[in-house]
Amino acid sequence: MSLARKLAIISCAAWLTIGIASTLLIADSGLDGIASPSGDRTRSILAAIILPGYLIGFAIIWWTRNGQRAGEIDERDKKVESRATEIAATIVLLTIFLVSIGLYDAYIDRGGVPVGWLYIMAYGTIVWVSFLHPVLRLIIDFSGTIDG
Amino acid sequence: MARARIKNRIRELREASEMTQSQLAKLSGCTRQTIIMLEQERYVPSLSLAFAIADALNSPIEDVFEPE
Repeated sequence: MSLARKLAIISCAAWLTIGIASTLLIADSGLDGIASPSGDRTRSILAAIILPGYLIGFAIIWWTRNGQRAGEIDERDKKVESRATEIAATIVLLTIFLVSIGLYDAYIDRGGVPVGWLYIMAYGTIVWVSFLHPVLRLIIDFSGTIDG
Repeated sequence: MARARIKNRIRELREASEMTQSQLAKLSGCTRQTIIMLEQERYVPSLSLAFAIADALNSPIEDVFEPE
């Protein structure tokens, strides 16, 4: 199995786990809990899980481009990655639009959106894009619908 | 833009040279996965990779790749 494929599978599994853990933490704390001072612990745990995960992802990208194993990512892997980035950007923008418009619709009568939603959207975007990108890489890689 | 259709004889020439996919991948500077995709004609390589593969197979590029 190529290094690119291995990394995509590992990223997928890692971000799926982070996503499930974050959802459970938020569900346990509740929308109001996450936005209140008492939700400090939950917010700290979420930041401690998500932000290092994101930084490790960047470190892995650097490692595969400049590090010891730089030669193991070839032109096809880079094309797959680039196509996945294009599709992921579109999907993420669409997701943010749909969630925002959904919140607007849901809370228009109240005149304001609970601030906890901003927190969920901020961290949710990181988790969503980090999970979606390797999934797309795997789909494009296995489908073989890419040319050099 | 229509997808380029390029046929290749990589598998045939590789087997004639008694080379494994991994060996060819190493010689041409790509991954074994790419060689598999090329042999299945599910990937059209860049010009530089096409030249590298032809060079690794000791064949002129026109013997390895041809437009369909």
